Amino acid sequence: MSRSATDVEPSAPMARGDITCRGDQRNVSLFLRLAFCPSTALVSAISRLVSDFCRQGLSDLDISSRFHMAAHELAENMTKYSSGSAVSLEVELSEQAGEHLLTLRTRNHASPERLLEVSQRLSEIRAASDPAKLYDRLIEETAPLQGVSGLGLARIRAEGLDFDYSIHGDELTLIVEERFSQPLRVQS
Amino acid sequence: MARLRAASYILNSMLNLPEFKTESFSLVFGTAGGVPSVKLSGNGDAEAVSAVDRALTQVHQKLLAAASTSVIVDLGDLYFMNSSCLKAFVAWIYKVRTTGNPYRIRLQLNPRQRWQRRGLEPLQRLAPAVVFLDEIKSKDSGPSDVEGT
Repeated sequence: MSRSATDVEPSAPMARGDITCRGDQRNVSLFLRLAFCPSTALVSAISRLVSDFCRQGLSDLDISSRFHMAAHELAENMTKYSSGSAVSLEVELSEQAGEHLLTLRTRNHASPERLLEVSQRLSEIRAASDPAKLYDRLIEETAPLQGVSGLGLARIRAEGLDFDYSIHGDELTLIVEERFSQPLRVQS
Repeated sequence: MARLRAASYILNSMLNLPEFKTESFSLVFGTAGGVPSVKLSGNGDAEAVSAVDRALTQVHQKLLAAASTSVIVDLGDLYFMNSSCLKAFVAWIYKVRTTGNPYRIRLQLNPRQRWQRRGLEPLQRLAPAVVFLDEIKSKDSGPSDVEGT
């Protein structure tokens, strides 16, 4: 059976129930996983899908907007830097210890050189005590340089989203999270 | 009289710049209340980057040649801008900031597009004397943030 460029795995059967992550139990309300061939042509469609997912689960348009931005930046980075023929993006709405959690997770393979470069940048972004200040500094530093952006990952953190990453072998996993207490539009 | 001739020159040369239109993005030049303007609409993603970069470079050259004092950038119908398009704005603003006779860049924002203020405030921080963020007061038409952002 052939697979299309984008395989959408909708929330069922993982939509509801307990899953374990980082040693904690959390109740997942909505879950979506996309596996796709890295392609610039898919980036906007994928980020819109993430935005629609967020609107399905919660009524806060600001959070949806920030996750749309984050999904776009991460999907675009994967199309630029992935060394493999397939990448994945997951978005999940869950509840944990009385708080709601929206999580965006991407996975891709990359070359050792790229992993080294990105891990230095990600480490700095993750550790920043004032992400907006770091973002402003990067803007100032790259302003005179032609054709260099390198702002996407710092932008995600500067716009108020939590950020983490891990590298196992040649696989890079990026995690973007937002915790909130507003009621969900779907029941857990 | 000389000032009027200069203003006329700016407007004519801006209107002569080529538009850029695709299925999901457009960039057109014009005037708003006698001030040169650039209007971006749609989705500012990877496919729009080179057009945005090229257009802003051309606008900068025209405005400098005409000793213009300001330009309006209408973002009312722009529902997203990726970091590479933002970088094109960063490069433009940096050039204006470091030129001897900087002009003002007035970014017109649509409050219904929630990403805009959040995403564009860093540009103002880069050059507070150059970049001004103006919210469009009654923007009923155009894409709402239902488009995603």
